[in-house]
Amino acid sequence: MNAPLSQADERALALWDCWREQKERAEYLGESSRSREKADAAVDVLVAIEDLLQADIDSSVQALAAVLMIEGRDESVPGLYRAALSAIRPQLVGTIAEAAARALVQKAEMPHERARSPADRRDAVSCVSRVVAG
Amino acid sequence: MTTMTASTTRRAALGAILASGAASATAALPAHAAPESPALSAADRRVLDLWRRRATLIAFRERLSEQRDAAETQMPQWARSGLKYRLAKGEIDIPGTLDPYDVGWPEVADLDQQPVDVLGRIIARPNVEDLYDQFVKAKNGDRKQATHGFLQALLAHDERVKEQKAEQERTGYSRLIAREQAAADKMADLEDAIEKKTDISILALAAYMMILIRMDDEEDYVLRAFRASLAAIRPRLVGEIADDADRMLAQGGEARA
Repeated sequence: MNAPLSQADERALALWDCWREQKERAEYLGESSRSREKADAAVDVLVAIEDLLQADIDSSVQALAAVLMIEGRDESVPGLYRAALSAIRPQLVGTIAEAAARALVQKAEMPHERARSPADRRDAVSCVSRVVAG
Repeated sequence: MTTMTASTTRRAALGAILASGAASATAALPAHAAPESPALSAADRRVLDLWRRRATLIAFRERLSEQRDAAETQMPQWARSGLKYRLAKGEIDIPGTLDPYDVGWPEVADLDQQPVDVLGRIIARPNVEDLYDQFVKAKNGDRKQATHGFLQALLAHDERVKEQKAEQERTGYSRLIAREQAAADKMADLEDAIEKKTDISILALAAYMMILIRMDDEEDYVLRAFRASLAAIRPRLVGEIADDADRMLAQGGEARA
């Protein structure tokens, strides 16, 4: 990491960590079927994080990479996203760079995450609050 | 989750091609290559050449389009392209009733004799399928008369189309249409050639994203991602592709402002 990161880049990195955490939680709740309401709420938070990242793609290449990876998970999204991710990879840092590297070597699913224990919704919401406030 | 829509086959195919090689292509390029940089790869030089030829072809097609428009004005009104429907006499023009798009079929000679539909419209420029639809509706009454009317309509249509073609030949319109089609085919060839280079050239990647942005066939969030990606790789672009990327990104900024 050479140049200092912009605020938007810092925010994107934090949001990316929130997104990964929340994605696992949403998947866990969706699979466990313990509470439909909780699962829906978890997805709502996930979408809110994606919207926050989307809002920054013009000012942060880290946010752009995050969005390219998130939207690239859907098989109907063009592989052009992967090409764009490849093209901006040299500019990526931190966990987003790591995730991009993994995503680009994997053909099937982007990004592939190792399993984690689920965080609760309150933690996820406060995670977003911290990022937005900070 | 963000809702996705089905992508075009063309786009998906491009993605599959791109997925493997764009990273290495990016890494191989200098961070700030000058327009005449000898560091440009053969693929990049080829893409720049294709992009220049495409720009020339765009200008040529614009001139052809202007010439075609001029030729069309030399034809009588009925032989020109125009709205498919007209309102029957006495009908009130309700917004949305008339299809706003032009069709190329000639206008019928006997407008006043055409059937009026439930919206108060008559088909001024029918095709054969329209005539058949009118026959199907009419045959529920007097079938013999409907059959006779259908035959007369078909013969009149055929005659009108022949007269229209004669007008198109006389004014040079037909020749210009043929040249426009040939230019469109050539444009598709150039764009396909650029697409094929996207796995080895970041200039091709940028060029093809610009083509897709200009086509404007994708969802807004996809175009936004293309635009942001174009901005992110802009420092690695050179020549006319860099210039066009600047223009496109500036236009995007103005549109958002």
